[in-house]
This record gives sequence, structure tokens and C-alpha cells, in this order.
Amino acid sequence: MINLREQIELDLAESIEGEWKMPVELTSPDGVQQILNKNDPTELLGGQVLYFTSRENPVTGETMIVNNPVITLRISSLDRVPQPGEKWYIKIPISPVSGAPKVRFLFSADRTTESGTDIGFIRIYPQKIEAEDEPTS
Amino acid sequence: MTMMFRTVKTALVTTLDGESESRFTVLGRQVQSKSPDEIIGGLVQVYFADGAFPKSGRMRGTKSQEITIEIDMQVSATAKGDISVLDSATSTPAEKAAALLAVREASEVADGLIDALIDNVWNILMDKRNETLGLDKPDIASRWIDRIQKDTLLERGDLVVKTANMKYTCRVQESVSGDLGNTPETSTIDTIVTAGDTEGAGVEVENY
Repeated sequence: MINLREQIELDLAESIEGEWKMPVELTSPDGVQQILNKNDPTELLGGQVLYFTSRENPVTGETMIVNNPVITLRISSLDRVPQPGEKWYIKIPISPVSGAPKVRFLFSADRTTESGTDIGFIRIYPQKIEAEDEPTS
Repeated sequence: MTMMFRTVKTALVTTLDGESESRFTVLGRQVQSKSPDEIIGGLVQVYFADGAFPKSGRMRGTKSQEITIEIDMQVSATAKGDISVLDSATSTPAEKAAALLAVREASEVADGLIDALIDNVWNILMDKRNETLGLDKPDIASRWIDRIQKDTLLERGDLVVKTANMKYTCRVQESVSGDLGNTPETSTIDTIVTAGDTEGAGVEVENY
């Protein structure tokens, strides 16, 4: 018989990797890309992606809805777990529509204040990344 | 006649806008909130904030006003990196690792951008050629940038926003305009001569 904590971890396969799963591609700081799920290598790596979050405008105090994706991944599905201080590259679909193109983000686990290691998931707050401007001579 | 602080604010906006050469946007008012996407190049908001009239023995004639004009600056930024290497299917893990290591985080990029914006605005305003902001010499005197302050980093969605503030002070002479009065309607002088193309126009002379 497994304990409750183990059961919660197993349930993540349904709750964040179930029918609402969104595929993500991770590139670790050592340059290794992960696109398949470690628990089931026949499946793409994926998790829950929430595109909009509510924030408080620090100037006016009003609540605003901002485009700020938050990604939740099951730790046991990852080849390597992001650690504070590391820079990771992640690609997620631009919208929840099937076949949507992927957009690029950078994230660091520093921002993951509630790393969720006790119940088996990690929450990622990505930051938009763009190409360096072309040097002008 | 409008008060001088309004003239100075308009002249400040015009000077900054003209000298910016499209490197940043200048607004002559304080906007409540702005999407970070719209301030990528830098946004400068100019507005009158404070005026003081030191009382002197002379109570008639022009009044000297020490004015403070706030200059709010905002930039937003994304992280910057070598996307082509990170996205390439042929890049080796070592190449991707090096590219990730070289990525500049958004906070670092934003800090550099706001420093550059402060540099630009300060240099435009303190330039000797812009001392009077295009106004006549006696209208504006003793212009100065009192202080520059950088604020904390704000996270707005997947971008970060950095703000800074500059206080521009100067002395102007205000004169009382008297009654507010009212604006008269524009008068129109109709000079159209109702004559056909072939008939000509002129004075018709009749001989009696």
C-alpha cells in the first residue's frame, strides 16, 4: 500500500499530464534538449500551461490580467531538475490550439519560490527571450 | 496669455521630442498605465509637478516662479540570447550550453536600457544649446536637473519594466493676465466675386 504523498505524485500523471497536457521542450544549462517524458518515453514531455495571470498594478492597486505564462511540470518526468541559479530554455505552444507554433522563453528556478518538491511538481515562470540585436558598426 | 509653466512644459516636450530622433517616445502628460509592449524603445512622460512663488518685497509687476517639471522614464525588456544556436537542430549540446551561459537576463537588459535613456535625456536637457528650450532668454532662467532616481524593477507579464525619474527645475516670470475674458467667434470676410468665367469681374461703369 502506498502512502498519500506517493499517491498524489502518481495522480500528477492525470492532473497535469492528462488530457489537458501541453507539450513543452526543455534545454538544460548543459545544452541537452528534452522533448520526451522520462516516465513514458513514447509520450512528449508536457504539463499544465496557464497563459494569463492576474496581477496587482503596483501604482494604482487595480487588478490586471497580464500575459504571463506559468508552466507546471511533474518532476519525475524530467531528466534533470532545474536548480536555482541555472538558466534554462523552454519552448511552449503560443496558444492552446492544436498544432500552434512554439514560442521561446528563458527561465531560472530562482523565481520558483514554491518549488513543490514535496508533492512532486515544479512551477516555472518564464521570461520572453529575443535574439541579440545585430551589432552596428 | 497662458502662464509660463505651461509654455515651458510644452517647450520641454518639443525639445526632447525633436532631439530624440525617434530613439524614444515623448508624451506631454502622465499616463495611467501603458502596455510594456509599447515602451520597448523607451517612453518619456513630461508633466508639471510643482511651483513655488517666493514672496518678496515687491508685490506688483511680474512674479517669479520656481517650477519643477517631472520627467518619468520607462523602458521594458526581454532576455537577449543567441536564439539561432538554441533553436538549431544541428547545434551540439556544448554550443547550446555556451549560448545559454551567454544569455543576458531581462533585468540586466532593462537596467542597461534605462541607463542609456537617462543618459540621452540628461544630455539633451543640459546641452548649452537647449538652455532656454527655444524660448527667449528672459522667459526662462536657472534651469537645472535636480536629481535622478531609478526605481525598482517591475514584472509585467513576460517582460520586465524599469522606471526612472528626473526633476527639471527652472525659474520663470509669471504675469497676471487679468480677466479670463471670452473667445470671440472667428469673423469671416467673404471675398468671393460672383462672376462667371467669361464675364470677367470688375466695376461696371454706366454712362449717363
